[in-house]
Amino acid sequence: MSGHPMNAANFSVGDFVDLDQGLVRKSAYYDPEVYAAEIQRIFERTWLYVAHASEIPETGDYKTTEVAGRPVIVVRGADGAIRALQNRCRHRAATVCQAPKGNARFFRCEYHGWTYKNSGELVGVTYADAYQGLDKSQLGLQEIPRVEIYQDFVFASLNPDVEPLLDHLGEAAKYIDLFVAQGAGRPLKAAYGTQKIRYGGNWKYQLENGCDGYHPNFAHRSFFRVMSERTGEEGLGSYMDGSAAAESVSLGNGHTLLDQRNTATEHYAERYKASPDVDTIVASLREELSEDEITELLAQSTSPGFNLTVFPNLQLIGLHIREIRPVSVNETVVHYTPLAVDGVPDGINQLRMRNHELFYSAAGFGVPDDGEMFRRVSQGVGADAEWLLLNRGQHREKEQGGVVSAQITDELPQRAEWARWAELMDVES
Amino acid sequence: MTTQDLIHHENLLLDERRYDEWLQLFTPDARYWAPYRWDAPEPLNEMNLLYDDFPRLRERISRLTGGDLHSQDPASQTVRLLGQACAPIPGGWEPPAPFDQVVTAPFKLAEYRAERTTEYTGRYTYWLAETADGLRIAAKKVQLLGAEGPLGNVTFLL
Repeated sequence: MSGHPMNAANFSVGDFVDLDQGLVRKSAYYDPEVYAAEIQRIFERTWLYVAHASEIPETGDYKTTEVAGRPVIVVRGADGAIRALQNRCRHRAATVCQAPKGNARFFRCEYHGWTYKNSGELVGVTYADAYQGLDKSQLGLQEIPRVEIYQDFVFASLNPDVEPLLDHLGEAAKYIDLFVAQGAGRPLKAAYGTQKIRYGGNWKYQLENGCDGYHPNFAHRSFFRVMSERTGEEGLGSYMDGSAAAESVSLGNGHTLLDQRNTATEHYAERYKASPDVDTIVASLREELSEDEITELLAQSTSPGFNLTVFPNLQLIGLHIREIRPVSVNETVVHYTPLAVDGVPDGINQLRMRNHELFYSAAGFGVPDDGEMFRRVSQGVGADAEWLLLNRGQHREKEQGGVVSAQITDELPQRAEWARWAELMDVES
Repeated sequence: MTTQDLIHHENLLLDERRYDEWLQLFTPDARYWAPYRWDAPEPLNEMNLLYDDFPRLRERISRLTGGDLHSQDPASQTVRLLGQACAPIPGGWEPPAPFDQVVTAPFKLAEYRAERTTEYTGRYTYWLAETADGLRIAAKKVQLLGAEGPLGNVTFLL
């Protein structure tokens, strides 16, 4: 499929994961050959999240990114279509676009002056009389063959034969709809940029963590402690303890969900009250919005009440889009893009950003503790014990119409993610 | 205490992790702000690394000293080199608390944690108020070089 070499001759999925027992072998997290196979069989083969359409709203708007290790420009052309173009001059390989985002009708390679339209077409070769039979039509910027958009979430695939995006999303599409509904009918907009957090560990630690309902009361203990000291509420983490009525869910295709809507909604609705400047902000909101509108918008200013993982690189958590970028087998950069509600007074989005920063900033009260756990696991897998246990609650899964659910602390999401991993990694499939 | 003394003392208290004493340097309506974007014009309409009022700063310190903050187990050890302070270029954000003078100084910060040393560079800006208790910090802004690029664990106080 691509030019990336990988000798997969001796690779057997069964060596790394035992789905019946809910076990994963430690080397699945640090073996460079596993990583190379993952790039080829997962990242080059399925759909990857690449952009939110609100990042490039106008004709010519672009952002630069990476897709399975390739430098890529995601750009909205004159025809309104969003394309994903490989950011590489077809002459001698220099990137043709340098900025993280911007607007351009043309991309010009500054090395020798070759020029491309923002649709990728090669339109200018300098001193062209020195070439014999140069076919410009064959030398456009390489286009990632498939781009499809669902609810402004832009996905790309290097696999021309990949299934339609909607088939890939399946049951997850419904939760994307619910995530988008937090704007109470108004669109969501990536108006505050992207923060990036690096950790020295395998990308699957983040994949597994996004819908891990077992860890918060332990890894995030200090967060729950200071928040309960602030609000006076006892047992703030009880909405995801071992007896909570909240659920973990497998949606199919490796997509997973932590559904806390029936236990956590009140906590999330109240959180903005602990934000700096909250009194002046709410007072100014009262001049522009009704009490009902304020209540409705602020009820959704922390979280829609669920975490969603869209396998393999997208998570919708809190108010943000989380994109997982593997850098190497031992290094991962996670991109966090919080969404604002478009068309509301600034105060609503100011409080949304404060709620985001509180837990998810690189200096926040939540995410760094996850990163610390990834560091500890990366260290721990050097020990002799061979298997990681992901079998919690395996006996109490309930299946209905292809969707499987279990108690929120059960490791059903992780098993579902590994099942999809195994399906894609299996050379026979 | 002179302005110079205060900001060097503030840096020393952070390096020595004497957080309760450090917090007493701030006025009750203080702000502590670190944007991701170096040129962020103000904190409210921005995604920040942190934007704390006094209660949030107290929570930050409660976590740092509470024995249950995993991302600071082991704790970061830091040393800050503070450059010459001067008046900042006028204009820009002003904090909500009253203040009497503003100074800015570049810093280099080395952090040692879990057998690794990480170097940070940036600029501190202080809004200082003469109070009945002496010179106090009405706001501190931390501009961190490269904050828009991937960051690791910055849960120690910058």
